[in-house]
Amino acid sequence: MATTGIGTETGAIIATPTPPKESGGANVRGIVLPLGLAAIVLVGWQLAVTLGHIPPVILPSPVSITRYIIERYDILLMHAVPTTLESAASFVLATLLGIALAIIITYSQIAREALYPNLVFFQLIPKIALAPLFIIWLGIGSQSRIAFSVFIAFFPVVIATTAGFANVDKGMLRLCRALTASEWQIFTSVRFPAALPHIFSGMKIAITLAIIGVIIGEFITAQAGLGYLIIFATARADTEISMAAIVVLCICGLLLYGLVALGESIANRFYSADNS
Amino acid sequence: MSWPPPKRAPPSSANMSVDLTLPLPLTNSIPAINAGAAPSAPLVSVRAVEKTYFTRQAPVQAVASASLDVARGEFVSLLGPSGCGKSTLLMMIAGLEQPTGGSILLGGAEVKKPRRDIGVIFQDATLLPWKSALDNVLFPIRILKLPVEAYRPRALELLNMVGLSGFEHKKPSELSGGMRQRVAICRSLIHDPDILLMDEPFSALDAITRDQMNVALSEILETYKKTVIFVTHSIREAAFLSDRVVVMGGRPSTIALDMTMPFPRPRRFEIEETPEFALVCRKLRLTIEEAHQNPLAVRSAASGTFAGKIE
Ligand SMILES: Nc1ncnc2c1ncn2[C@@H]1O[C@H](COP(=O)(O)OP(=O)(O)O)[C@@H](O)[C@H]1O
Ligand SMILES: [Mg+2]
Repeated sequence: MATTGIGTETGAIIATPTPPKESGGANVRGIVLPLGLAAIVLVGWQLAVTLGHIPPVILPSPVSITRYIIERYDILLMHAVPTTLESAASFVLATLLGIALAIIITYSQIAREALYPNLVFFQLIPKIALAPLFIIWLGIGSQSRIAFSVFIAFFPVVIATTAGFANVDKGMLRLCRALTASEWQIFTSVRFPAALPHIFSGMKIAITLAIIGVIIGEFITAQAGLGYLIIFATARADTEISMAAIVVLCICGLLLYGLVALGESIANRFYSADNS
Repeated sequence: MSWPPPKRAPPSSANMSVDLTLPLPLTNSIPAINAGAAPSAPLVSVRAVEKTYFTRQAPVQAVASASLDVARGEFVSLLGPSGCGKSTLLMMIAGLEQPTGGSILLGGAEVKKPRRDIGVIFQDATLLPWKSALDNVLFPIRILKLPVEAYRPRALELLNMVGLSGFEHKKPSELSGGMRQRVAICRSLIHDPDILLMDEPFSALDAITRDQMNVALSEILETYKKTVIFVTHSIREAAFLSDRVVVMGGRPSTIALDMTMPFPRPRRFEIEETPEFALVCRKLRLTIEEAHQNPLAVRSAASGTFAGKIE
């Protein structure tokens, strides 16, 4: 090393133009860089609000939002619970519906020809426009929010799972047929495991769409939930509550996404091509 | 129970329906393959088989009137340039394709669909990428709903036999092409099928690995005596491995030559250096070339069996 002394760990990481050779360094970098950028943005936001004298109605500062979350966590939690539960329920239903439709599309040619073009066409509709109709059809309870959320979240699961089922090695199918395997055996031991990476990528999109679906439902009609809180607070120009609710919503979203990613890594332990 | 099992009795012995080489009897699941057939009858009998694929465009006649008998314990190669219908014929014997004419008999019974007493190997190893070598070898046992634990020692023994002990728990991505194909060979033997059908199993391998695999396969078959039908487009490979080489050629293709290989067993790689081997290869090559130019002329001229001399 030509230079000595001041090169602290962070300094070295920021200064290095090429990625460090050992993976440990790359990992640290992968965490430090995004967190650093987020910290810079937050500090900039805080400074802009305090030094620029932006009124809290327009934009509350990160510090005041954090203080609100800490002080009123009980209220936020009260609203976070139904939103999270309804999102999770919608996600599970959307996944089951998506996989079921993918199985039908894979195994029935008639269903495939009749269903698939309609599904794709359906996808072109701005589905959010249909949200109020679900209230008319199913009332103002959680069932209409969940139904709407399933409606917008199942599609990526169908597409990804169908692609996964079709992706299976033709030689493997021939081997199975030569071994007199039943369709069910082929499905459980070859098709489904081979499709798992596809299914999980569909599920990861579905979980974010499921949350969006529930929030939209809560915007339209709800007596509780983070979407309701956001609409309620914004109507009263209480931007601080609104922002706090959005932060909590992000945390809930991360939590749900993390659960899906956890499921994926558990599945990977059994169905990965790399040795664990 | 001793393992590896003793060599099978020669084909002439009378009762073959009780198989002593199995770790467990396959009970009622597999009907004895030659039940009802005369002891001297061929195990596989291909009779005037034709196959025409009806595609969206013109129909493709892949095989025109092929006839072939394979005795129990025999190693027969189907040799010919690619596109001459070798795979098609093999898939029909496996019950994976239906002939459009003629019939295929296995132990006297017509082949209508795949049977569990046949083992298949394709050009690609087609292993499950998420399963270990050992679990891939045991895959047929799971499909056939046999007791997996009882077959585990046999799977380990087979892997050891092909030089893969120590690699049992590796996944296919960690194995070389030759190693993967060896796992596939073990998988085809695990349920102790009577017949092995191999479709260019070593074509995707490099020349050195391929020679090693040829020696390994003939060693395996000295221990686990099987009836083998082996598809290849390599003349040397066919001559080295086979008891008989069947040359397919012409369009639509028929059987141009059915030739017995005069080399003693066990075979070692040195036989490839003998003048006799060179003569056999030459005869095979000439037949293939002729069949390619004028199929009808060859069929009448070269249908005799090779008897050790070359005219
Ligand atoms: N499923 C199929 N549909 C239509 N034509 C086929 C099909 N399979 C093989 N063929 C045609 O049949 C002929 C023989 O093919 P194949 O049996 O694969 O030959 P080989 O194994 O000797 O290379 C080729 O002309 C090929 O194009
Ligand atoms: Mg072929």
